[in-house]
Amino acid sequence: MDELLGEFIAETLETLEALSSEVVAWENDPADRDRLDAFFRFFHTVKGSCGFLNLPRFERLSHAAEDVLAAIREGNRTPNGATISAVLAVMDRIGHLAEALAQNSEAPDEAEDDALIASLIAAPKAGSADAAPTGAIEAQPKADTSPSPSEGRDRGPRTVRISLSLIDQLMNGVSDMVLARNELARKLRDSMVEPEIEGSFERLSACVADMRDLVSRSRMQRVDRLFAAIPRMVRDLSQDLGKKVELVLEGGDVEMDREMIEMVLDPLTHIVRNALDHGLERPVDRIAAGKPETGRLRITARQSGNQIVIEIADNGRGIDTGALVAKAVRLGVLSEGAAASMSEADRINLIFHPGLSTAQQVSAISGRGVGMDVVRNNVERIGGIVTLESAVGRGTIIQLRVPMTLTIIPGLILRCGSDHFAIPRGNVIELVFENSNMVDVEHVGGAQIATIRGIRYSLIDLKTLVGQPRNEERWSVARNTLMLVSSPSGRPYALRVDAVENNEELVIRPASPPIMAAGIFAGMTLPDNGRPMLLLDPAGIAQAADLPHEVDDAMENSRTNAARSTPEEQTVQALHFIETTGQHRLIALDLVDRIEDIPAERFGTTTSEHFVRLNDRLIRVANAVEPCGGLIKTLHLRAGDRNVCYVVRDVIDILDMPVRPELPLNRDGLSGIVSIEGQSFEVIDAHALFAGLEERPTEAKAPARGTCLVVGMIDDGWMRTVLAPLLIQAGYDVRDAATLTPAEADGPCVLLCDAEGKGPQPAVTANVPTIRLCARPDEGDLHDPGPAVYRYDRPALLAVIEDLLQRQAA
Amino acid sequence: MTDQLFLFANIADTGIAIPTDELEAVVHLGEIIPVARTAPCVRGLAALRSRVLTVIDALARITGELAPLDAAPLAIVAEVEGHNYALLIDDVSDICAVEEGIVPIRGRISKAWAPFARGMVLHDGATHLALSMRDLVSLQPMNAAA
Repeated sequence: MDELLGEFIAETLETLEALSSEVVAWENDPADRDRLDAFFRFFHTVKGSCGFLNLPRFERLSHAAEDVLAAIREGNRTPNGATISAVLAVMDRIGHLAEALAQNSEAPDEAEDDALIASLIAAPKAGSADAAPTGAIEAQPKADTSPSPSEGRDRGPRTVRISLSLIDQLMNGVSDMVLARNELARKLRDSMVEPEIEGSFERLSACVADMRDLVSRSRMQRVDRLFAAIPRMVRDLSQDLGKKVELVLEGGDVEMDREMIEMVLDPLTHIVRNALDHGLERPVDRIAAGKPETGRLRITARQSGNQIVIEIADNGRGIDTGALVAKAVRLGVLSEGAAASMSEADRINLIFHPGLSTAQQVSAISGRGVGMDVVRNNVERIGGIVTLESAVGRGTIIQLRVPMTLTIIPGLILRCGSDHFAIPRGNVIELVFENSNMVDVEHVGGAQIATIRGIRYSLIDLKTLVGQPRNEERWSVARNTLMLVSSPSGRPYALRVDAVENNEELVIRPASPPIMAAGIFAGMTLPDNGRPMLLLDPAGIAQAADLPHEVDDAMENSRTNAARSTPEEQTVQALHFIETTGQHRLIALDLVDRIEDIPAERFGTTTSEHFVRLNDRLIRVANAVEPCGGLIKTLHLRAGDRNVCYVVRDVIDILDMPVRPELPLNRDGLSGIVSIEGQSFEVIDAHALFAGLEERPTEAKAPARGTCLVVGMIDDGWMRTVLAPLLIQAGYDVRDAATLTPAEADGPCVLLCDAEGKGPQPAVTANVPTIRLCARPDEGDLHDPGPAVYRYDRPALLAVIEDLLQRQAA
Repeated sequence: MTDQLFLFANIADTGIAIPTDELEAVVHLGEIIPVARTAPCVRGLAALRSRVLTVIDALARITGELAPLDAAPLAIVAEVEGHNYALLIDDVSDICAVEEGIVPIRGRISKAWAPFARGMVLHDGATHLALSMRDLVSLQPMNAAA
């Protein structure tokens, strides 16, 4: 019985959690049948189960709610705000009762149930006067409206409830298994075993790896779970505060570790409360500020490498940094002098200082004292980062960057003196030897700067950081490795280590607080040599080394760009894409009109030309198309009135590209090579791309400027199939001299005949300039009338025609 | 009061008693890997099967002096708030139930020991200081005292 009860409680609470996100959507559209059904089903299930389990209070509540919903389903009642609030109140009460039951604590007063049920029933009826009287609602038959239980339940995959501690144990077990496997692997390597044994070990090893993946997947949950409670919270809060809020949730399908979801829940809740309470204004104030009455709160989650980025953006009043600074000064946190010299970014960061808040009054919603400082501490404790951007009057964006999982990450193992450390591979952009000619290390005023392919980075010496004596000669840098590390916030920096030794999947465990206090570690691991190893925290290292912090913010970037806009560092925006052949290349963003996926069958190829049919026009394709089906990603490039399509495999990002390439090429359609943050890119030579078009104009030029009378065009194959198309393409009206006499021709005309000049009647052609076409280049100007041109000398031929026609026109 | 089981050990020639429900085992540690940028009493990390222990030097924690490390130092293994710790001690004298449990402190305890002493435990005709693993491995109180 207890087991059944536990099952009932767990299921009820879980369904409640899932439904709470539907509440607001339902409120917006009360007629939404699917949602109505979902709520109905919930009450119906509760009612059914609790009758069986003998829980009369549950039964009474769910029965009443079910009746009301049934009436709505049948159209006997129209749901309105009051009805929905009453239904929600009953849902909450059921949740409370279930929790009380689970914890064996005292249940809320039963007398209040009656009030809830009364408000449920008292809610107004449908507009029609002949609606059923109040009492009749309870008497309504419900059997025929209830869906059979199986109908609602058998959607979605079958699941089993497992306690979290079991999953944790499973994870620990698998971690131990991985370690044992690694140890065995090392021993096998050392002892030269037979290949047969090695084969079986490989198989075992693969199984262990699969197992580990599966177990870590079992710990992953959709971010939906994190979002589930938000719509309800926003709805309730905005009602309490008298504000209008439109909530947008995106990226609920991103997955992250269950543990991380739990860790992020509190900070997120706090930020949302803050945004509603302090960020978004009341409707009156919003209208006064010229903004739409309804505020907007947008919460998005996305995966970025092995991090999950959760962004909370509101379009409220933003943070008044002036008030923040004033308060900090008043509280003695900040001296006036220091306040005056603070940058805007530093001012905003004051919000993270304990005890500072811009709110004029303390409210019940966001409370007092526990502010953004707690949020930051909580997020940083799990290896995350909080950044905040705000513009007064326009809103605030808070970004939480947290690791997707703490358990298993690919890492590089590096040596520093006698110690080994691991670093998340995702954070390492590049490895270079310090003695490589791409690298230049300088010491200026105690600071170390590494210039790698022209880009300057702060250099951190790991040995100095971990307090090891540098026993070798100070300038002997020959064997050191520089590791270009991206820190989750700010610019990448170079980390000097002795050597990078290995590349391994590491089972990371959280390090104990005394270790974490060092500030440069993110966790620890036990590699197969059995010596514990610490995982370096790239952000912590940047902080410990006291690097100048730069917020990764467009505004900040443009400012720093402006500050150092020497001609060498001028940049333009460029699109980073992957060629069909796999190279990473850049093209100036201004040229890109749009990016479009085009069905493969619209592409065509002739021997020398590739084209694509778009809106009944043929557009040239600059590069070859792989013969494959499906959609082909193309860039539409436009310069002036010229269009060209460029087929790419994928589009990556928009970067700031130096105008001047580091290595100019000017061949193969490339203008040169640039390196951006340590990655080298070939840059497409846009000039060559469009210049290539010039020789082969695809669009018809000006209308015919004259008529070419070709002698024997109908009879002579060469004239008809080779010469005539050329002239037509050049924009002339081409006729056979036999069908149209020069006199009939409208405007200037020329006569083209073969070298012998045979065919045309002299009388007819008397006043018409004639061009003789010679079959051989050396057949010069032997006969007098009219110029002779070698018939394959296209430029000369066209020039002569043009010349003669213009002379006539003049 | 019910009988409570204590582990009796010595740190800096001082008899101490730790409730056994706070600890898991007493082991000889293998290699200790030092960790940079940590408090002096954090001697480093040691592996115990597939677990990684944070090694806390009890002597350093209490008096500030580093304990001499021999080849296989003796340590108490305990889990505190989900993390595994090894607390270096001189030796273990006994594990035994004490009927009275922890009794109030008499006399004046020196400043170094004062933040850790939770009371006294009488055993085998001698008085031992009652300590808690939690106090010894969490570093906040020490900073306050220092």
